[in-house]
Amino acid sequence: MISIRGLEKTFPSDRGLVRAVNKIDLDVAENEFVVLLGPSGCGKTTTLRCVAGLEQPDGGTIEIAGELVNSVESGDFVPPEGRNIGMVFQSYAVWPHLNVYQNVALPLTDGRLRLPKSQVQERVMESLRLVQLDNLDTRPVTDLSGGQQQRVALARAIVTKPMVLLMDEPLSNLDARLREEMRLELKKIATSAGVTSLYVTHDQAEALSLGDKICVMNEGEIQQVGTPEDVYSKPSEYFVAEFVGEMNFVRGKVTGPSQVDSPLGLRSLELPPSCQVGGDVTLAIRPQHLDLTQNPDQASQFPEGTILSKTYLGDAVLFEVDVSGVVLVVKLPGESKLIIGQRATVVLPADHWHIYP
Amino acid sequence: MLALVGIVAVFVWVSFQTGVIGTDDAEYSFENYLVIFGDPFVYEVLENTLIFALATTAVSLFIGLPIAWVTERTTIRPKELIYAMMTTGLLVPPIFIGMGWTFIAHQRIGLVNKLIKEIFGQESWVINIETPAGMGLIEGLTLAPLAFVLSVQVFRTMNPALEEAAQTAGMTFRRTLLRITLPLARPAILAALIYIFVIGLATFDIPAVIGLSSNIYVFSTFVFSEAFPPDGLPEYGIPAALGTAMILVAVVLTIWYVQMLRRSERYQVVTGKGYRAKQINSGRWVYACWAFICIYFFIGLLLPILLVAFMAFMPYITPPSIKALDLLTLINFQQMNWEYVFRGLKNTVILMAVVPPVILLFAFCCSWLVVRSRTRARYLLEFGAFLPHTVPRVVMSVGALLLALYVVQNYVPIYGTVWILVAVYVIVWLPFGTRALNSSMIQIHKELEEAAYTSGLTVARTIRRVMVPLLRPTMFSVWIWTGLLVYREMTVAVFLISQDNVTLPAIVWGRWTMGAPTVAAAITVLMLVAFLPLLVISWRFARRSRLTAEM
Repeated sequence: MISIRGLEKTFPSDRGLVRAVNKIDLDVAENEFVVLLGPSGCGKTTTLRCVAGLEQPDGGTIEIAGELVNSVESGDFVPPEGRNIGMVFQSYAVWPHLNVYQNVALPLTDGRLRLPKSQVQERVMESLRLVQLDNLDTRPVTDLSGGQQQRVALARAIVTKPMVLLMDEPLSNLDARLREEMRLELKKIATSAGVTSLYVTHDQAEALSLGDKICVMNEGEIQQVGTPEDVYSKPSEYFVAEFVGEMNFVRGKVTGPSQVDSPLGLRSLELPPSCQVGGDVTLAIRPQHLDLTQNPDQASQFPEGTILSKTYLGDAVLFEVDVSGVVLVVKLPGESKLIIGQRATVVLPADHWHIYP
Repeated sequence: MLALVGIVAVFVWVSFQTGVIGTDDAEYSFENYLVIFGDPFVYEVLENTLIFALATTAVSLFIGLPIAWVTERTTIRPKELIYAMMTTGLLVPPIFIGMGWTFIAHQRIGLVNKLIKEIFGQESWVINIETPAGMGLIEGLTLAPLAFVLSVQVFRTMNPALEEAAQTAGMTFRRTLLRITLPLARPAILAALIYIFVIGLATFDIPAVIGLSSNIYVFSTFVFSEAFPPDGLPEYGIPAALGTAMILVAVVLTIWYVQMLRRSERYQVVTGKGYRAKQINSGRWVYACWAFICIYFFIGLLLPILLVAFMAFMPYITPPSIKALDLLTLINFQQMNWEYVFRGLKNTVILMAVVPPVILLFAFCCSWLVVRSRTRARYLLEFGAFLPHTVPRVVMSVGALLLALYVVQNYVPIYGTVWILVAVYVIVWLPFGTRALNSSMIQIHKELEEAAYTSGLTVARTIRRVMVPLLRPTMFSVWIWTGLLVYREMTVAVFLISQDNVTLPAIVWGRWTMGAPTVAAAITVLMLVAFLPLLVISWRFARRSRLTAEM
């Protein structure tokens, strides 16, 4: 549905040209929900704005629903108003001089479709029902709460039944609780509207729960594309491991085929083919895959450390443990009797390790 | 923009010519410059101008600044009334005030001087306003509202946290004021000072109304008398040379002004949220404050206008007294050349109808490009829109006159029509419109516009359905304000009028200089009556917005 090839965009800045997007390729299939995830300045918003036509790229091509909307090489450029899209903005961007109904109706009456009044009413109310605002249609938008304003923006974006729905951090201006509520609802609405979605966020929890597919970006390049499960459990790059979810990193040295020496001791691990004996590697493991114990029987093969801190999270406890100079974060479900200053043995699992050269 | 460059270019071109300008006889040399800088009279004019401008600046800031501080930073109420009083002062044509003050303090016939002579019997105690300092005092009175408007913004938008931090650090109110508030406001106050000083250097109305008859010349009236001598051929070369020098001075001062303005903006709270600086309880001081404001309003505005109104019904200039009431007459209105006045009215109405929309159109395009575009062209536009500030209006008028007479006349016979006034008025007030729209447009989130594009609205429809409705309050205010400014403008009109394109203020000016002050007063009264409804509209719509600060 969306096909991006070799997209490039540079911006002038005080320090010379900055490459915001560096030759990326991305495909979004019909009715798929793809999330662009990355830290600020990674190029995700620029990519989205190029798809919307709000930015003109410096290189590459963009196709929407099989139609070439942008090709730098051939000079084709369809302006945003000519593209079959709907867009939701971070600032909601609902028009403050119009009421709820008028906000949603304007794309129908003045946009691509130029529908007659009779058809507008039905489509607007249908769209408002979808976001559960059909009882507030005559209110001035400025009277609504942030969450409601964002629903208006969403209704406005889908009222034209676009092929593609673009969302630029739509939830980041909402407070934490509302954000979680809206997240669930957003997914439902996008599914029931049957629309292909491209969604930009820097919030990994949002990305993991919303996306059919996640595309992790950093410094203008795509690091990994995959299902949420893939990205979380098999981060292909060091950056992805660091950015998505909590992760412990330990520097080590390859001492033999499938053997690594590190502050955690000598460990047998399956190494990727790029690692050679004598080379440096980084071991990565998630806090919930580690365990702490004070039972010395089990402890023989595992390193021992000192508990530096203990953070109670409600459903889990987070420990920081110093193991020969390396601080490991360990997440234990439920309660724990261990306290700060105690010595404890860190139980290392056999699998769940990620290794980066 | 091009027209402005043309005007300045012609001006500079003429300044290097002697002989018959614009013909083959013209010779190019520095002679005009040598003449002006060798002439002791020019030095006297410059000295007068300097004294006048300094007096203007001092008086206007002395009045405007305290009122601004009191209004924004104390609990004095109702603030709307103060704003209304001050904006009225901004809109009343200065020529009226000048006339009124002539009636008040003319050496022989002035009301106050008559009283002084009667009560004290001392001839030497009379006030003489026909001096550079005296005229500066009156100009200062008319510009005090401008000083108010320029500085009220600073006190309103100053970050309250800065003062609160000082107080939590244990500083007293007085120390906070001296060590924090005033230093923070200093760049802005300095900017206002430079701004008013530049106006003082170039202003025409008051020096013309008061000073010309007693041969006290400042820069602008000197240019006028050279360009329109009562006898003989106009001499454009010398005023052009002097004007060129003046533009240079003004450019330097304006650059300084812009720098000060930038510096002052650093201390401002930019968020549009109802962020208000803390207000000090004025307590009993409120009476003193109101007394100050009312005294200013009375002597700066009410008294001169009352006297003008009184004179309109007198057969000749008479200080008001019970006895004078017997003289009340309508003769000024009966003997008025109504056909001429109606022609002036018609032209004024045309100007008020045409100039504001044209300014809005240009200003909208300029602002949109400036605010939305990332290109370097925006700096050029921004600077260009600011440029008219640096060119004194007298210079602009003479330049337009020269341009129309010597360059454009063969292609577009614009001289002598109302359209030359339209053109110059648009150039003069375009910066006002642009800056007002700029600051409003910056506040409109870019995504509101982008949301329209992604909803499928074309650029034209986005402007019509989203941008214009959002900017409507500002555009409306700009419309009314430029209309009122056009209504009161005398300088440009006086330089560019002929029989056909005369405007009402120019008629007032004409009657005044031709020795018919009571008739001038009568026309003034008519103008004021027509002005009132407009003023009321402007009160209703000029929210206490930034707009007035864009003057």
